[in-house]
Amino acid sequence: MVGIAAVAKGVLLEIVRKKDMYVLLILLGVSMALLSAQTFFGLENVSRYVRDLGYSLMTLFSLVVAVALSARQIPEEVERRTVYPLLAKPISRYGIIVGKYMGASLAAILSFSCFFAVYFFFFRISGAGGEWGLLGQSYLLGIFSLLMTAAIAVFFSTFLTVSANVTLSLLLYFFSSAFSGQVRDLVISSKGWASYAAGSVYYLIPHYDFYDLRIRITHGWEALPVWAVFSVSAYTVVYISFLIYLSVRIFSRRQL
Amino acid sequence: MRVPSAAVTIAWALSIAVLASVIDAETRSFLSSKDMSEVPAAWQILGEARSIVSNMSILQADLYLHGGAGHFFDEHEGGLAIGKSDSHDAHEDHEDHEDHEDHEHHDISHDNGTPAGLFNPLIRIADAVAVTEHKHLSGKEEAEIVPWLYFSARIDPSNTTAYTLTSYWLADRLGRPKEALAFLKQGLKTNADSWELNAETGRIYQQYFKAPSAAERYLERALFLMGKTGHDKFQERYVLTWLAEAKEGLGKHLEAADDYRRIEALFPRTTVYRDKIERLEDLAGNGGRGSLRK
Repeated sequence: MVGIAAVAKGVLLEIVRKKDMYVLLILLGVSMALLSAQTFFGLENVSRYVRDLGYSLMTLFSLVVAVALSARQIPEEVERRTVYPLLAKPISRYGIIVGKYMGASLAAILSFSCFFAVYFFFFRISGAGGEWGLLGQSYLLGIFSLLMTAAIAVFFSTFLTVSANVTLSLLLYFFSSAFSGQVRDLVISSKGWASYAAGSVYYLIPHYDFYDLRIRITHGWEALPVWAVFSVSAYTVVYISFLIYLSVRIFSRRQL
Repeated sequence: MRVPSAAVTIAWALSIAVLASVIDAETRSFLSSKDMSEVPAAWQILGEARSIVSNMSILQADLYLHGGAGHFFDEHEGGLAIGKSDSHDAHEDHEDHEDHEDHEHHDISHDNGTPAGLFNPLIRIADAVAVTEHKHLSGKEEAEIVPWLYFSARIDPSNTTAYTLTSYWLADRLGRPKEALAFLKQGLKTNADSWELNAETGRIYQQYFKAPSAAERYLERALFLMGKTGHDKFQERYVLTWLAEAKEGLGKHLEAADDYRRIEALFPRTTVYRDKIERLEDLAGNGGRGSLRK
């Protein structure tokens, strides 16, 4: 356990030492300030586009940080041969994977929290009402989304190069976000083998659409029912556990 | 292999997006003066990209109008709700619509009427998370769609639909005809030969500023320009109706009657203009200053 924590701490320190997060944080703040300062024909209380674009930027930046950090952990250790002294310490390959995943997740949560704080600030000054429940849910689901992203990137990192991993992780994110609805409709409307095939794809792909509350926040819809939040949490735990299990299995059998 | 710094990548991407969106008027005038075959391929692609992004921005405005939920084509007979500016009856249509369908729930159902995904946990979660209800913005909230229309025009200044839609929402829905007129004139700087922009400018002058002289000038030009491009008879009626009204305001009763006759020719079965024509001819007979169009 101490070994896992040490590995995780190393990854967490990486995000603090590197400038990526700070640059993105400034970029987010400047972008939102510019968006908020924009006026349109003297119209008042026009703020939904700020909440909308701000949420999208926050999600994008968090995703980039999570993928870039998680994807490079294992391949860089192997490439620089620093994995050997690491394995010489009292830590198993299982511990390395879990430690790397925990570190990447914590780093992603840290950066997301900073981005969310900036978003929240502009959300409040945009004159939006006190949708505290929805804001809390979006923060929670945002973290779940990053936990999922980190798990996927760590899983791919056990057998892919960094560049392939980043590309595939991002493609998977955009595919899932954009086409989950269509696959869902296909599952419902198709019959026979087509239905099974569509159903398999639907169960296999990570459902980033479960974490996206952008439309609800932007347009002031009500918060999700508690059972839905609980279900998404359970789904995330199951999916991540499966990915980490597979990652450990692959990494354990890998020739280093 | 090192991953490029995330911050640098995003900064580059944003810079490219900004650069692409601010290709200036000089470039546009260069492109407009040339045949498409002479225009370099890269510029053609960039132009297409601008047009696509600009139209996506209009679609985003349409989404905002429906509270962010998808656009349901069965409700607007295959057209965009924000595109109702083309019709005189847009306001009434929209209000009728609000009365009937202000807050609806849309769900895909099985043939037996069971809500989709009732026994499929993932689909149930997806349905709970997604916004499947439908609402319309109303009152001051309608202003929320304006930024997307504005962005659409800024991204692609040759997108005349962006200007006409914006002017419709500003003037007819948000009570800002001055701003609508200024925006249309801005659009006319880069789209001087657009009959749509000329027609809308004329309409705003006539409807909100009671300036028939300016209205006539723009509407006549719109009529002239639309004769050189493809258009349907409903669009022609739109221009002719406002033109006739402007001419009536100027005391050119016979010319106004002539415009109504042209509408009658377009819609031979309609009789609603008969009374107007007779009234205008009576007025002309009693000292009207108008003369028949040659």
